[in-house]
Amino acid sequence: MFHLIKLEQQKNKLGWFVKGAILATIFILVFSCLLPIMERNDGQQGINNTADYLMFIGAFVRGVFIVFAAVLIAKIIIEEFKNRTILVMFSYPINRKKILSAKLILIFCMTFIAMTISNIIVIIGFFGLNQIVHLTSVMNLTPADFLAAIVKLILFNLATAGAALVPLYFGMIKYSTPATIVSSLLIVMVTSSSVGPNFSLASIIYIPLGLALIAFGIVASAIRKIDRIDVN
Amino acid sequence: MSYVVQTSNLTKTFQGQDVVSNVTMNIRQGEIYGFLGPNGAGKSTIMKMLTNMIKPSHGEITIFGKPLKHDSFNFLKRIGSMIEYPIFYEKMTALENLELHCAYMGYHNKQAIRDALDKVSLENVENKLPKNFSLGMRQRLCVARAIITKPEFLILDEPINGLDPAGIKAMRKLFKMLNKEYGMTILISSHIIGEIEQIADTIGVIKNGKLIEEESMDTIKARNTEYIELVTSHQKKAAMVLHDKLGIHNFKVVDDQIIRVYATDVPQSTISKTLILEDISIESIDRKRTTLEEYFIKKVELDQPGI
Repeated sequence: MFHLIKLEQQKNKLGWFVKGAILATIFILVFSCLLPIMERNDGQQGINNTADYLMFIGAFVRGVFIVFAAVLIAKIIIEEFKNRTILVMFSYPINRKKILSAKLILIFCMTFIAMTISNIIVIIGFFGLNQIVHLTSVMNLTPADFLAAIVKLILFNLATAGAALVPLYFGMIKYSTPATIVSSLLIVMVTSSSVGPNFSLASIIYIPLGLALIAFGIVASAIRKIDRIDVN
Repeated sequence: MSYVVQTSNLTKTFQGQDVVSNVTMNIRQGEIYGFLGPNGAGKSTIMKMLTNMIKPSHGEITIFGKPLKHDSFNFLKRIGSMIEYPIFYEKMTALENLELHCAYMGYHNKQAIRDALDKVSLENVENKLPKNFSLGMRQRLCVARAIITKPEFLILDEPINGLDPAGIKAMRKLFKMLNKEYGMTILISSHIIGEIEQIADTIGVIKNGKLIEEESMDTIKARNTEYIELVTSHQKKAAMVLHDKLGIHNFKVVDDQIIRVYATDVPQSTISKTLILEDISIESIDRKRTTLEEYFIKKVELDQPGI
């Protein structure tokens, strides 16, 4: 299986993902640093404490990487069907279930790892910069807070990386890249949006967890059916 | 007799329509099986069913002596295929595509890639992207990919599409060599009769999804007897003379001027002499043989050779 995942990685030339993830992380970090300044200028205080801020960063990072995951699904799975290279793939003496699983594992792992690393970099970057240039005074992060934040974000990110596989269902209906990406935006809305200053969907782990369960069902069904579909 | 492929009442229905209907075909080990039929006859669909890309609606396939199931895949190790269009990973170079193929096939002989490219006469293409190739080059690269691992069974769907006459000749030579030297069983489809005629040991003719004939080339050749073609403007009178004076019954009036005399012991010289004595002018008289092409066109309306 590891060999298959490695081949998928080679085949899809995923350098763009790494570059994109770095750019996205820089963008999120810059935006996170600007937010307290903007809030101060506007005289509003939407984010009152460290926990709020960590939640905001987490939601932002997860939102971005859900879309990245959809692009991965489109490139690694949907386009293979659309460009009919799947005919080549399925001409190999390899169980189709394994081929699809390798692709999904790669997407899940890349999404989770990129999401987590990006999240940690933004947290460290933001609080590091805050120490130097004092972006805000309402926040500070002790090592214990930091560790707790990491554990929490890992749980959230695991669930979200699972939830990010939901667009597979929409993409596979007509092998459509736009359907995959658009459906990922819906997942972002459900998992990362806020309603008013005191309520945010992003803080409820059951949402990504529930979606991850749905994604699990979608993935299981796709893997179960893959042996029976005609590739034309 | 051992068979690489046997199908029994193979049927594929798409949206209520039979694209392939009750096909029972037998491909013997070590032979070149020519699959002949017009575009859209169902050749590619059958080939895809043999490689498990498309699942049959009814019927059975036995491949390498084992029944093909919806989840069979190990048999693919013994098959090289090129079905419909030459498909590649367009962002990978020709060499990367071939290396990837070897990696997935579990084949680790690096020299084999170079050998395969040599066999299809593709030079200096390793680092180029297939998307910049002509159709002929893509076809050749696809054949190279199919033969790298020296499979026991080679499935080639219209492999000479887009090739120039020299390329076609080279491919024909290659297929014969692969068949003779490596003992590869080859299933090759085409709508060009002349091509199939030159290499196939057995021919399967498919029309509207039905296999209307499966015959060894020797049998077909033996069946296509010689005849004498007579061109005269006195066609009716000539027919009477043939029948009454020469006792020939097996002849056919083709059109207003042409009569074909089949299977006769009467020599050509006697026919012409008798006709002249009966004052029937002869514009030409020739001994001919029905070409395979005529035979198949009778069987199925096919495209004329495009080369």
